[in-house]
Amino acid sequence: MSTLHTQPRLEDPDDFYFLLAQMSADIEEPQRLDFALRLLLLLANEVGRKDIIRACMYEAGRPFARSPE
Amino acid sequence: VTRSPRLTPSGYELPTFEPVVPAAVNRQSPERRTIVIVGGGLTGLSLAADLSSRGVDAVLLDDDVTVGVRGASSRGMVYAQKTLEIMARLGVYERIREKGVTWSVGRTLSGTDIVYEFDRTAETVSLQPPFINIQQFYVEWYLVDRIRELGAVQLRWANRVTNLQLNDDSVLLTVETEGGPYKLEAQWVIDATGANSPFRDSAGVSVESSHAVDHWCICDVRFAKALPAERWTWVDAPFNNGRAVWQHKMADDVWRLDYQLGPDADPVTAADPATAHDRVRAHLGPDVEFELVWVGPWKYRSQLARTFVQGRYLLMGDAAHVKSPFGARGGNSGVQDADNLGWKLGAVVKGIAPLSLISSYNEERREAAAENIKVTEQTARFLAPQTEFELRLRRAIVGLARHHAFARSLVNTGRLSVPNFYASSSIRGPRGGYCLPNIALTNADGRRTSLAALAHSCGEKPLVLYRPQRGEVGVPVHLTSECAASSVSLLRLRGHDEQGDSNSITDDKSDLLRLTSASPGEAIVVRPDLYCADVVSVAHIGFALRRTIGMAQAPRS
Repeated sequence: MSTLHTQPRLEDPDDFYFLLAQMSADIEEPQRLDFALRLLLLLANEVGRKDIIRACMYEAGRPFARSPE
Repeated sequence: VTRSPRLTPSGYELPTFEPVVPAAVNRQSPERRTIVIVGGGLTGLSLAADLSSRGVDAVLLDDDVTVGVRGASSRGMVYAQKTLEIMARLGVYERIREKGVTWSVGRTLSGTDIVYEFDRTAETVSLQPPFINIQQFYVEWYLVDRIRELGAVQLRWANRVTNLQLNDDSVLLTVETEGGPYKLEAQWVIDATGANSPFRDSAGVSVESSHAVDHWCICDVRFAKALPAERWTWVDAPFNNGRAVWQHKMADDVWRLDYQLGPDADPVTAADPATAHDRVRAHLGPDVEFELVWVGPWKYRSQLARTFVQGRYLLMGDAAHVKSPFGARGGNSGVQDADNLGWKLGAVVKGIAPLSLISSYNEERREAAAENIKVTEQTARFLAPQTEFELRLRRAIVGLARHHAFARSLVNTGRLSVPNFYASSSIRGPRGGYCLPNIALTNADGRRTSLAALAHSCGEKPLVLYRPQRGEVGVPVHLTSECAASSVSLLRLRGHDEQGDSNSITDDKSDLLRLTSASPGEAIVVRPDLYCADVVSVAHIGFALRRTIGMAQAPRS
């Protein structure tokens, strides 16, 4: 997890949010997930590094992870 | 259009062999042998041919009298480069090449669009092609002929092992024949009896296994329609209800067509000739005359034996590891098991190497099997999405793949068999553990040779290739004396424009130097199975040679 950046790195966070919201709103509901997945795949390829992507996956899944029995 | 499908499992005339009743039948004392291989499938026969080529005495027992599984059963059909290189060394490659279909191009389709393709010709540096497709029983047949020609290994057909007893330094087998039973005591027994080995339990070797739900149905079909001799895979074929399909040509104008079935498919109905006929008709179109040669359902399955070496009882091929057929990693890895074990067994029984060399077979081939299982499970997951999300994720990948190279790398319809890296091997050095291809080389007298031919001439010992310093004449005395002390062959790698003596060799395209990154003044240690054991400076050659044959512990850290 030490490799994960959680400090701000986005060049323009407000623009990022606005564009993402607007683009997804312009897409019909059944395709919104497809848009998000295409975006995920493109961004993952930009990141490239396995350790960072895995760390992001674990962090994203943390609230949903099943606790051990 | 014929509506009376004809299943012709007898489309092939397989050779049958005479049942053998050995002299030991009904004798009180057991027959004693050094090495006994149980099971005459692809892996067992490969080891028998390997040992035979080394002049090592061994016996192979098979409960049947033919090759193939009682009829023209479709098993392996894609033979990858490493297997072809091994078959070249064993002397059956030319027959495989003449009979089979040589290919290098693969295409993956989604619907009717090609979303991924490869051509392995450009990147290959081996004397053997990337792939040849041929029915497995042909390869087995050629191996049988070769083993008989070589003579050192006895093939005993219709010899069924009914009991196996593991002792401290031997294994005792009870064998049933047409003439009655006999006992056979061997220093080494190799279990090559396949996925349902009846001996693992009595030898105390447990198996980790996993099963999944996805079902498929193979239809081997003979037809004359001119389709390219390429590997075509559909992620979602319109003619198979949006499920995956494989299309691949083998010998005799027979095609391997493999269809993914629905989650609720009944394997018995799926293999029904009428159902199979309709499926193939939908695939090939209304105008193509075809004949069903063989139909058989299968499902995902993986198995891994806890160890491949239990005292004097060794496991190889499907008896040791089972995986789904994606990427042709079953048969090809079985042949590599044989290739790995052959020289080690030879070295041990000839007294060249200590017993402990055999444990490196377990380290290396079990690691390879675990890797192959992981790779095929990843393919299986891509081909059978478990949730709506996965299905949508895969659709996004396929959509991006039409325009972007990065997404094509995510399309996974099977990663074809390649020689594995042996990370956990105790007989490799820090710069070894990977396999070298069968590179073309030129002898000092201008004759063409190859890395496989050179390695074969070294028997069970490694080969040392020295890269001289610029302007250096001959080879360092320390290197010569260390190699001589171990009776190991030493060759000097020579540049194109350089004069060479009889102990020099030319690496025509510098493939060897590129692949090993050997610097001037360094020596490459090549194993009999063409794995690079290490690349070392002259001072370290003695240790490297001892380690390669299991005579040294891991290097001091």
